Amino acid sequence: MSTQVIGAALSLRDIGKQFGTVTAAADVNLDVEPGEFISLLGPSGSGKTTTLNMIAGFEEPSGGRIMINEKDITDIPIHRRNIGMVFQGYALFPHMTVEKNVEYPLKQHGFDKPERKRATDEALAKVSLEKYGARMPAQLSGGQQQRVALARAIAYKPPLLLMDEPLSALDKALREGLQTEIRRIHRDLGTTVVYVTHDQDEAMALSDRIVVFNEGRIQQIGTPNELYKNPSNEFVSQFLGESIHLDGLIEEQGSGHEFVRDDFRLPTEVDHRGPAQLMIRPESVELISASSAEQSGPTVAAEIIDKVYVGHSVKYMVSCRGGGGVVRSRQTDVDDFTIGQEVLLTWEAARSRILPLATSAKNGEES
Amino acid sequence: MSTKQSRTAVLAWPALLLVALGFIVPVAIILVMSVTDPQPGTQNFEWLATNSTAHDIMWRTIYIAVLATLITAVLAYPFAYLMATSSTLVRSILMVVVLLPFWTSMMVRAFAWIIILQKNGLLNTVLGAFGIEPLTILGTNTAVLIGMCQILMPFMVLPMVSVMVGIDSRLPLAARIMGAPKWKAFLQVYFPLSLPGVFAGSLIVFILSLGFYVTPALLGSPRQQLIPNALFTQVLELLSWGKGGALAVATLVMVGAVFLLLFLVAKVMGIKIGKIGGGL
Repeated sequence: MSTQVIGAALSLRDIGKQFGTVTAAADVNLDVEPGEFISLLGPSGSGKTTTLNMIAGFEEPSGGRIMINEKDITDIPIHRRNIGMVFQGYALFPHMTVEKNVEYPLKQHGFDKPERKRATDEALAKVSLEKYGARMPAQLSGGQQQRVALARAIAYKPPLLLMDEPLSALDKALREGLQTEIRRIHRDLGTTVVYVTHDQDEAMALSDRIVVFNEGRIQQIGTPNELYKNPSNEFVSQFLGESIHLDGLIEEQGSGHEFVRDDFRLPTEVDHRGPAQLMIRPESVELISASSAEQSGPTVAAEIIDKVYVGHSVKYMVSCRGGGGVVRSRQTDVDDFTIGQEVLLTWEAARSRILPLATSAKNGEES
Repeated sequence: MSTKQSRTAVLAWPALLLVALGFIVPVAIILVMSVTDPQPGTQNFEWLATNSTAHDIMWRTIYIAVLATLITAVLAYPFAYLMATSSTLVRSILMVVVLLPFWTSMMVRAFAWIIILQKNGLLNTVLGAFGIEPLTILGTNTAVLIGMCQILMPFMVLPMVSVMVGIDSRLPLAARIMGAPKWKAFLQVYFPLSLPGVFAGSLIVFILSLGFYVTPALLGSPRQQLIPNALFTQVLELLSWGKGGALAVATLVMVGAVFLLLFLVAKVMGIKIGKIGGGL
């Protein structure tokens, strides 16, 4: 139904941003494939927005180069970067009608009048707002304004589309509807999307790949599945999805290494010595009553501190010595545990991950 | 109106009373006098309509007021823009700079201008050092304008700033990422959004400049009178309350006309009139 765009390839090479003595971003290296949907995910102040602003040209990097399709754009002014953008809180022009808002980038890029009209109508149709062209932005609901912002960003079919927490101001139901819409538009258009969010579920739902940021640095880059199953460090494991984590030590054992706690030891491939953390996703852990004898894998004594029914499953919050977290068990399970009950956590050793902990500062907090 | 509202409304009565006694009643008296003094009839307005000196005074006043409005608007805009886009600290410093003249009396400032602008004043001494012929500024409309603009500046800057700080700073950035060069982003996005502030400031400055008395009296010339000085002459020197009343009524009508004109222009341009004066 509509012409596809050739998505741009984006490369960030050693990008960093220094605000006085504060490092907002450092050593950011990233290659985005043409047409890829990539999310920059992290808590506030993690450097994800700074990185996006540097791609847009709103911030000048303190070091490093930004390339679009192999072309260095680091020093190219904002308006000649040929980028589309959806802002947090929309940033619609309040003094222009919806139509004029969407037409604005087309005008700036020198499209003639009939072409502008066609592209504006097409973009508004894409977000199902074709009847709202004559309205002022203030006359629209938040969700509608967001869709206008989306239409405005895609109207001239930019090869690279930046989105800065576009859905953060909307309620949950609206957010999920718009996520579907964004996915569909991305598929239809074929443009490369860089999407900033602090919402892990949103990043998981939308992205081909996710870049996890913390404290100005990239922690890990991978598909949602990779990040969930194989987080490369403690931060990623805790930030993405629920988990049980157990503190321990990695010790050398013969020719290999072992993760050691007083209640169990597990051989590990991780080549490291010192404090570490074992991480298990909630669906891989089993809760058994403390008296139970069936112990196939490692076990850890724990106490149930909270219990929440979530439709098809029960979510247990558990606490144990040097750890704790979330376990989910299916409603149909025979065992039903009560708050305060002593239980055992058990899991298949292969489904847990052992992550070395950053030394010094971090340890102080944990002990 | 709910009972709760009407109960709170009682608190507004003292202010309303003050406006009624201090403004509406005197205006009514002036209106009445303009058609009754020295005897009932329209003779005062006939005088105003036919007397060429009165016409000159009125046109001169409007001309000076328009010029003062334009000059302060042009000078205030970049200053207000700087204030609105600066950090809180810089903004506070600039705010003090704007308000500084408020803390000095109008009279003192007029005398200061006399010292600077007079024949052997500061300005001509400096110009003389560069071999430039002395300028005659004191006693001209130029001197009046200079004095007025300086006093009126805060009334233009403040409404502008209050509108400008409300402009989402990402809007010009949005325009830029969509392909607009810096100047276009400013002209097409920032400037139109700042207009309510420009309108509000212009309205206040224009109306205030119609009523300047001390500044023209000290810096201008008696041969180049403005309405307030002519009013003073009519009422207090010639004791012609009727003519003075007619002149005052004419001024009031002029202010009303300007208000209406700005209102219409704002309406045509799609600027919310509610925002005008919103910055005060």
